[in-house]
Amino acid sequence: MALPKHLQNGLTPDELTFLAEEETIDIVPLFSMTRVRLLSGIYGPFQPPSAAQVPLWLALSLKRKRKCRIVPPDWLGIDRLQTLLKEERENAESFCSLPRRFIETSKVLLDVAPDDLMQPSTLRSLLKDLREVRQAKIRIGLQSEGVMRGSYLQVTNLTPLELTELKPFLVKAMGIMQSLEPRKDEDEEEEDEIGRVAGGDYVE
Amino acid sequence: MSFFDDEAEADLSPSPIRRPRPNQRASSSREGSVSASIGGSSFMDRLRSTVSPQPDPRHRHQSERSRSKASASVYDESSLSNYNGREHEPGSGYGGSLLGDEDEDGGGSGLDMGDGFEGEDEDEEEEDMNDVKKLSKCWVRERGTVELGEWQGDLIDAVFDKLEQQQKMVNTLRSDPQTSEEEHFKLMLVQTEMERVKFLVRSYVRTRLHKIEKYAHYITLTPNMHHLLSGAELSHARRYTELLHTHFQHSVLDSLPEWLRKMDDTYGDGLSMVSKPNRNTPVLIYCKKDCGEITLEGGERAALARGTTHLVKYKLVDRWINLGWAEVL
Repeated sequence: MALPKHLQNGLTPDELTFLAEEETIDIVPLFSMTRVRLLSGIYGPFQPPSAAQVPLWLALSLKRKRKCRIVPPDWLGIDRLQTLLKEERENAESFCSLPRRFIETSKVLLDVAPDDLMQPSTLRSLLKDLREVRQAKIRIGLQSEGVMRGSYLQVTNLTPLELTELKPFLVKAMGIMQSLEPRKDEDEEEEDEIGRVAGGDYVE
Repeated sequence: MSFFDDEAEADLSPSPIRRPRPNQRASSSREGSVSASIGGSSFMDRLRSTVSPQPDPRHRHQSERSRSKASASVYDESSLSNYNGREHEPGSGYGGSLLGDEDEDGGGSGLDMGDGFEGEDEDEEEEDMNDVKKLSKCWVRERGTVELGEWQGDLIDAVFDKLEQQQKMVNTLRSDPQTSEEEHFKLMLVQTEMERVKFLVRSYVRTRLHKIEKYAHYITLTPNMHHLLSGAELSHARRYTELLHTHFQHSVLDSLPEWLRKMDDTYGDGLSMVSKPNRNTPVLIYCKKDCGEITLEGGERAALARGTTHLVKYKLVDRWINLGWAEVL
């Protein structure tokens, strides 16, 4: 009741974007202003030729008012993405390490500040390719034998957004697998529980 | 933290020194009127200094305060990476304070038990994170797990204090006709951020409320859990359970035979009527430190190495989550 159903499965993509917007990015301001103090820190001073580091939401809000130019993060470049894509394709076993919130960040940047990026359309298609390669790998991975057998899965290097897509399915599947398993150590668990719930005072 | 520190600093330093701001054109005449109306210390100036900090708060900070805190570190975004995830210093003893206790779940971990001084170091490290970042971590964790986390009373209080202060400042500067264009622009930014923070607080509280209502009966029956809740949350849980039970009694149970009226029965197969968090639900965790190995039920072992991500049953990793070594995604 307090939390609508669609929010109960964990964070939504919008909320992940919200988190991504807390991360910092460089901007080149097109206006001058002294420092501004916000709850999350002090930003500025803003002097036209020199760059400043601000949270992404601030950068986007300035950008929408045409008051700054956003310096894209170094991974958001054609060369870099091409290398990443190549690596991702060659490496069939695991996932490449990418910036944690690359999907969200690149999406908002492409939406709000395409003019600050080099060849936004190429970037867009590269990012899409990258994402699709990874999604394909996830699908293959899930089909492979034994993945769904236990209630454990290593998902290193998948970003939170990709995991959010997967999580409801996996959690449900694991729940069903568990209910199919015979209950054995229920009593033992119960005792364990009482000690653990207290949190602060269990003895290790 | 920086907010308070800087303001405190503004109080400390004599006013002539702290006003070398270049664009202070009309302010000297204004100051007279303001200080006349608001007893002595130039209140408006203090407010202004909260929006537009002094040119170099960092310098003075270090020289004036031995225990320099957040202000310098807010510049240093890289410091986030070595944040070790502790949300709170381990306190000693459970205070029953209304808005939350200071104890950390992992307080009994063995690493930092005992003397209360060790918390100081932890505290220094965690100052690297500003309150907003901390709050968003707590929020993500609350959303990601089935179990109720500890109520972050101190953090919420701190955030509320700051929000209130910002709001006051915004109101005052808004109504002041002398406020410059630039300051109006800053006010807009300040308000935007306030809305973001308010969203975080709301969502955090809602998530907890959802869990509390879901497991209300279990919570009231389990005194061990009470320290995780704030006073208001606990009384809500109690009243909610009571209301629900009274309602059930009146509408259905009273007309049933006596032996069917219980609300906390356990069926033959061990299924209880009191629903409690299913600690077998998998969580997504990211290991910020090497968490050793865990044993899965099949007897297999899985290594939780640093920098890896896992989907694993909550009960197997809760201690690492409480310690802050693993982060819920």
